[in-house]
Amino acid sequence: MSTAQAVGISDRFFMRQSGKKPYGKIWVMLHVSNISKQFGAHQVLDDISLSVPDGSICALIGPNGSGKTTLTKIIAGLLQPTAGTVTIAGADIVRDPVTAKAQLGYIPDNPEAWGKMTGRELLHFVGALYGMTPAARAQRIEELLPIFALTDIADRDFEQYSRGNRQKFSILTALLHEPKLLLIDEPIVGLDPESVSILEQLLVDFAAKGGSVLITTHTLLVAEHIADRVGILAHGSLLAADTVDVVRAQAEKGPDASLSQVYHTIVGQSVAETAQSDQS
Amino acid sequence: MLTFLLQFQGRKITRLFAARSAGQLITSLLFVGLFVGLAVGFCWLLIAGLESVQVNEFLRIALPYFLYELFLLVLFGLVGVSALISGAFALFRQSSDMWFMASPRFQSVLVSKALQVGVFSLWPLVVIALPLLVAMQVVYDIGVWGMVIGMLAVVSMGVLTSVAALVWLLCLGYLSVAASRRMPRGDAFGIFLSSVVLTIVVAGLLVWLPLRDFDLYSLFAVRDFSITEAPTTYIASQFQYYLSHLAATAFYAVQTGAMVVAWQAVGWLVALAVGVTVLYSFLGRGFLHIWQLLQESHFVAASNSETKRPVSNQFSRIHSTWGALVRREILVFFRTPRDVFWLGFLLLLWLVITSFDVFLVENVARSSAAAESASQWIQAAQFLVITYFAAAIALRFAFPSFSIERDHVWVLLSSPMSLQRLFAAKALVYVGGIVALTLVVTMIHLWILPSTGVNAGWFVCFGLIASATVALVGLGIGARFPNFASDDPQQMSTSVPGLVFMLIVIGYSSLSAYALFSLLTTQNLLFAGAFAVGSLIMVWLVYTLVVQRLQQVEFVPITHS
Repeated sequence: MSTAQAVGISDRFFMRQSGKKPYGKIWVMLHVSNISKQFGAHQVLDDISLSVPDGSICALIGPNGSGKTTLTKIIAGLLQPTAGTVTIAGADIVRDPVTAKAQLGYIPDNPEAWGKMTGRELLHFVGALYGMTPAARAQRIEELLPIFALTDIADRDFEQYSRGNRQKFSILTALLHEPKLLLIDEPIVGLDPESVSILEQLLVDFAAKGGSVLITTHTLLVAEHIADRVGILAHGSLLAADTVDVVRAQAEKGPDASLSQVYHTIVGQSVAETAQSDQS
Repeated sequence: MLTFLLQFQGRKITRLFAARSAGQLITSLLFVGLFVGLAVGFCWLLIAGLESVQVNEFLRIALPYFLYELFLLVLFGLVGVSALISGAFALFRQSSDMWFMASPRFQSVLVSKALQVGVFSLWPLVVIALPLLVAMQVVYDIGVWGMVIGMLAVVSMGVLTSVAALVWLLCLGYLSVAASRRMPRGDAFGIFLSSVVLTIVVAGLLVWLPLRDFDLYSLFAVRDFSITEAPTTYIASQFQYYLSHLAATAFYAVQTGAMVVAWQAVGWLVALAVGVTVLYSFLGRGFLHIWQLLQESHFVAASNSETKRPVSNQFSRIHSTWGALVRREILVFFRTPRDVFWLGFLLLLWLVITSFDVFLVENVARSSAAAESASQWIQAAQFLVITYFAAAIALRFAFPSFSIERDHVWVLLSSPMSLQRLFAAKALVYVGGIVALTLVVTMIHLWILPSTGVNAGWFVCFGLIASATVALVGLGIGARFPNFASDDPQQMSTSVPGLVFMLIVIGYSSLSAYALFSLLTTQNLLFAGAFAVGSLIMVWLVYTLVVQRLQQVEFVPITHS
């Protein structure tokens, strides 16, 4: 429950103040509405709609080539949708990108940055892009670096870092300006087991404080550990998107069924339906 | 593997021209139309130039020959140095080669680099040579075989120069690895890069020193009143030690109809090209070994490495997004050795050509009657040099500056910052930098070849406005047509949009040089006005066609996942 609901402020007043939209009885940080994306003649995403409420972690899972990265790039404002809208805290990512992006922390699937900048310089640079003052940046960087024990290597060139350390710095860039929404494309690639645990806890704490998280991943175990909502994407279509319990019910599985079983059932049904429609 | 690489390049070209929609087809056709139009314009200029020389009985043979020698020497000098710099990084520091080098067919990297540096990047040369050969056909009637010989000369000279540069890089690679073993903390790649820089400096001096002492009066035997036509023997003797002399000989022989001599010169070029290719193949046998050693660098997988920069205060006083973008652009540029080498090389060349003024001053001073008009000619010519180098620097740095953001563009585009602001920051850095360099060079020129106050003022104004316009157009075209197919800025520069940019520059700078010359000789302000309006139109076009539409450009490589 958000602060606004707790103190009983009306929907209309809260929407005016925060720019967010109500979704049922929950406040929605991210609202993806009827998003489609075509690259030339190739339809990568087809009419995708989903929402991530405040304090929620939503895991978007799907096979390779299903459109997960394209969707996250559209939400992050890196690609333009062919149709549909994305709003972050009520701000449209296409019409009002500056307001929308100010609420967002994005961690890409490939955490590359300028090789000749140090990790600390990268963090300062990103902080400046988000309008943080030099003092606020310096203080926040000193708070963040110890999370993944990066203080000792913060003044080395980015090109010298291993894949895992690059990933850790990209996580810190997303957390630097204290966003309301974290958008993470494959969060644990290259991370050691200790860092995976730290990241999982970090995301759970972030959501507990009212933040929203959308992660796309192939690692179902991570999704199962931390996500309270799940979306299953295949061939550019969203096959399911709701709380984990509702999606389990959609797959006709019991409460003890693993996310892997749910995923394979729903994707399997989709493949069978596609084959059937192709035959007919 | 060679077949595969050739087929791959062929498919790339096919894909480029495979239009998928009516809009793309129209855009492609407009692009081709613009390209053809500019090439025709360039050809027309060449025809006019050659015809004006043709009417001078005394110089009609010797002057074109001198220009072939000089032009081809400078052109292939540029090709050679370009191959040295891009080849140094392409051979030993291209991350995409890891797959090749880990496979049993790692030797194929050598073939790939020879194609990349020595063949596929030479196509702009062919595009420049074609209008020249057409112009020669119109003026001298050189025939089909003359055009074939001319094209063969350009292509074989280009291959020879590029592959010879790769051979030299392999030699330097072997020497650097050997030297690093004898030094206690020897960094093989550092030694390698230093030796490449030394090579460029020495090669530059070898070309520049003899040219500096040229005496045009002796070269064309102007004082010999017994002859009615300037001889070519003095010119040939001055250039005979340069490899480009063979190509110039072929062009000259084609012009005069001496086809046997032309075939002989081309034969030599082809034989030499084959020779260096065999040598390249021979030296490449130990490529894997030196490649491995030249990869070694500082790498931090754990947090206990010893090498680090001092705690940076580069961004600690930056308050605004704007300031951060500008600082980042400058910081990354000056920390990237390849970019600094390129800028250093282009600047060196620019200063060398500007200091040709010294040689011109001596030749002009001998004829006081012609001194004033010659000085105006030289200023117009130096203005062309300024726009050329401003364009070359813009093409190498400003043009690919959006495309090279490929892998880290997520940092910029996911932040609350508009693309217009990014464009403005890049414009400030690149346009400002190029204008500052232009100011220095124009001052050097005026110091060597003083001019009257008003004329000097016009020269500086024209130079600054033209270099700013050219830099902005280069940045704009690069932003409108980003290229994510390569991470090599040199390769991006030789793309179709890069060539269109250079053709636009040729048209703009030719008209501007004419306006400057007319202004200097007649003091008619109409020419200054036309130049200012033309420049403003180009800036307005960049603003309306690029800056206002930046939000529609997707600066992210497409992934279907």
